[in-house]
This record gives sequence, C-alpha cells and structure tokens, in this order.
Amino acid sequence: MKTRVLSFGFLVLSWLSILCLPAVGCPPDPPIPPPCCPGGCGDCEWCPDCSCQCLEVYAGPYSWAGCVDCEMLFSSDIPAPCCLEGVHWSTAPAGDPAEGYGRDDIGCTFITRWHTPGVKTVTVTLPCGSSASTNVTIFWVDKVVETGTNDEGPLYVCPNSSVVLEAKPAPPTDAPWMWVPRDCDIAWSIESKPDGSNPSLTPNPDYPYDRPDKARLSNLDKRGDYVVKAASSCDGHSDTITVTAIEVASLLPDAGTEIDDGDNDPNTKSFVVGIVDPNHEPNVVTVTATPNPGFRKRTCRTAGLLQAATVIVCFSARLTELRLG
Amino acid sequence: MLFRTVDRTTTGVTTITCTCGSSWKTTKIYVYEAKLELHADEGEWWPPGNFWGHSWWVLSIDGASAILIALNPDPDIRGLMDYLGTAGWWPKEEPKLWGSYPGFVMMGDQNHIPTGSEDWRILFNSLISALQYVKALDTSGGIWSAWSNNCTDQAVLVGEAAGVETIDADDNPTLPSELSDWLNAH
Repeated sequence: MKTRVLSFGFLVLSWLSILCLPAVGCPPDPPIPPPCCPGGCGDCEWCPDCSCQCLEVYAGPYSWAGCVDCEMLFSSDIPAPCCLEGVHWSTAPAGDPAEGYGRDDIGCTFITRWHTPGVKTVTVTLPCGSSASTNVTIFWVDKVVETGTNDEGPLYVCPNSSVVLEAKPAPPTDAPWMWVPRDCDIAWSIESKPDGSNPSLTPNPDYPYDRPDKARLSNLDKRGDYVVKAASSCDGHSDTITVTAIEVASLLPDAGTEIDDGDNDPNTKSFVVGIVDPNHEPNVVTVTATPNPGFRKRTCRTAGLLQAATVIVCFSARLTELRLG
Repeated sequence: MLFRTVDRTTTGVTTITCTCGSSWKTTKIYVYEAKLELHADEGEWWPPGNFWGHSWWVLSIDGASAILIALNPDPDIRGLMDYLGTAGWWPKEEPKLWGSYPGFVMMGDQNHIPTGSEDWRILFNSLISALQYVKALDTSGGIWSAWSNNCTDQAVLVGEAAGVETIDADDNPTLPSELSDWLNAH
C-alpha cells in the first residue's frame, strides 16, 4: 500500500514538469551575445579579439630531406576554404615549379623538385598576408666510401672477405633515413669485376637497423678490382669505389741467400743472412710483403703485431687489410 | 708495402707469415754466424816430441743455423755435419820426413797449443764450400806429404775454400811456423 502511494506522487510531479507552463514557473532562456566580428571574417581569417585577423600558418616538408630531381611535398595547416582563396607557394632557389597555388585535394600542399643539391627554402603566403617558411636539404650521391671512414678507395681486402660501403650525400644531412622519400633510395650496382668472380652486393644489409645508403660487398673470390657504383635514384648522380682483392705475391728479405727448405712448397721460403756487428748499417733485415695487385696508394692500415719468441705473427683486426706476420 | 724487420746482430731463426684471406707466404730468416779459424803450432826443436808442429782449422756455425746443414734436404749437405768443428790433415801412419802416405782428416787438435791463431766470419755458402772441400779431402784418397801436402798446406787450402787467403800453399814445404807468423801478423 505504501509503495503504491509513492509511485503515484512521482508520476504527478513528472507530468507537471513536462507541461512546464509559465504559470508553473520555468527558467528563462539565456541571452544571446551580440556578434563579435559583425559580418563574419574571410576564409583565411579568424576572430580572436572581436576583430578579423589573418591566420597564422605553419608549413613544412613532408620529408626531412629530399634528393635532386625527386618530387618533394610541402604541407601546411591552412584550412581548405582558405587554400582555395589563392594561397601562394614560392621557392628559393627556384624549384621546378618555382611557385604554385594551394591545392586542397590532399590538403593545402605544394609539390616541386630541384635539379641541384643544396638547402632550399619554401614559403607559403596567405592572401591576407601571413606567411611561413621552411628549409629543406636536397642532396645527391656525392661519393662512396667504406662505412665508418672517409676512405674513397681503392680499398684493399683479402680474398673471400667483405666490406660495407656507404653512399655519402652532398650536402651532408643528418635526416633520419626513414624520413627521406623512398624515391631517394640509392641504386647499387657492380660495374666491373674480375673474370670468373661471383661477388655479392647486398643493399641495406642490416635493415631496419641500418640506413639504406649502405651496401655490403662480399664473396670476393678472385683477386682483382671490383668497381661498385651508387646512384641517386631520381637524377642518376653517382660515384664509384674500387675494391681490390689482393693476394700475397711475395714475402722477401732485402738481404741474405735463399736456401732449399726441402718442402717444395712455393709459399714457404728460407733465407740465411750473416750476423753483423751492432754498428753495421743496416743491422736489420727488412722482410717485405708485396701484394698482387699492387697498392696504388699507401693506405694500408697499421696491423696489430703479436710477437712470440722468435716467431712473429701479425693479425689484423679488420678484413680489409693485408695481414702480415 | 708491408714490412717487418729482423735483428741481424744476434743469431736465431725468425719466422714471418703474411696472410691475406686464403693467400699466404711464410719466410724464415736464419741469422747465422759461420766462422773459420786457422791455428798453427810452429813446433819446437826442444824438447823432442813436437818437432813437426801442426796447422789446423775450425769450421763452425751457431747451433740454430746448424740445422740448415743437419736437416738439409740434400743428403750430401747433411753429410757435412761430420766435418763441422776442429780438424786437421794427417797421414794414416807415422810419417818420415821425406815420405808420402795416404792422408785423412782427423777431427780435433790433438792437443796442439797454437802459437798463431786467427778467425773470420764467413758466408754460409763459403762454409758449405769449405766443408765440401774437407769432405773431399778426407774421402778422395789424397796423399799426405811433409814436403808438398802437409797439414799446413791443407789448412791454407781449407781457408781458401772458405774465401780466406793467407800464405802461399805452393811453397815446399809450407811450414806451420810460416802460417803461425802470418796469423800473428794479421
């Protein structure tokens, strides 16, 4: 009985609120403020303080860097209606095209390219006067080196070793490669190799941990020159590096007489040299290793030396040098 | 170019290996000291027993390099090891002053005390040549003669085989005293 009385009361109150008659006492509507910017503002304007002001804009490249002759996309935060009012894009030095007007099919963007490397400036200007600029580095393949060095070759390596090469851009850029257009990927190729050899060239050998501007040259199974080329994809600007696989041609002293060591092995030789007094000049025998093919420049790195008793054995920490012991 | 140096002031063997991938070379450098010594005991008239005197030689090489002879692939060279050391030219029987006898090379100095001595560093090949001369002298059935082919003659000729010129061995007789004097004077 008590439950029925409460339900009836609640129903009556709800009914009265729906009717909401003035006589019952409903609250008035809030007042509508007068317009701040009478007549509204243009598509490139906004109204922050009851006056129309030109939009502040941002512009930037879609990528952190680009390469010569590859298309570069620039974007902004300009709303589409404004873009259609005639937003102007310009370049310095001049790109191709040198200027353009906003398009809104993929946002208010601009696409251009440059035929030379360097730092380029792109400016976007709104009809009402605001503008924004951004710089972007446009590079191409300048030289090929052994990675981690500035050695442009010839590089000397031992047979069946490998070497990682790197294409250096000019101007240099520290842009993360993942933010460089895929069009800028480097094209690697082996231009020449010794007859009968079967080398391998693996671009981007440690992807994704490595940059695609590197390539590993391996399986240098014949002595001789391997010429590797790296080219910019869009413009074809390229450089080559020569990697020379060498063999030990001889290991001969500058004094002494060869004697028959009896093993009939051409790789082993014995020489006798008479003792001299300490004040004799020279008082050492110089044993020289001669590679084949010969070095064309004196770039052999210092080899580590391990001397044990009267046996000298020298091991290299790197594969790219002749190891002398 | 890559190079290593080997000390030439001490004897020994140094092995140098140069490797580049599957390509390699190994070179052994033997710094040797080969020597010729000539000794002469001029003899004495009194007391009797050393009337003749004696001349002899020593052909030697340091131990590390002696292996080049001992383990030489040529058996004829290996056989020269028997003649390394002190040796002289002797008759096979008690000689008379004017007699001729089959001769042989006897190792050792037979307790002679030199009155003149000299030594020279010689080339390895000169050592081999001298040893070959000594071996041929020992095995060729040569005749010992106090007048024309005595111990001093052969000591001088062994020296010449090693590239060392001393006195003229064509003198007859060539006396130990003559060699002793020369050795003391040079």
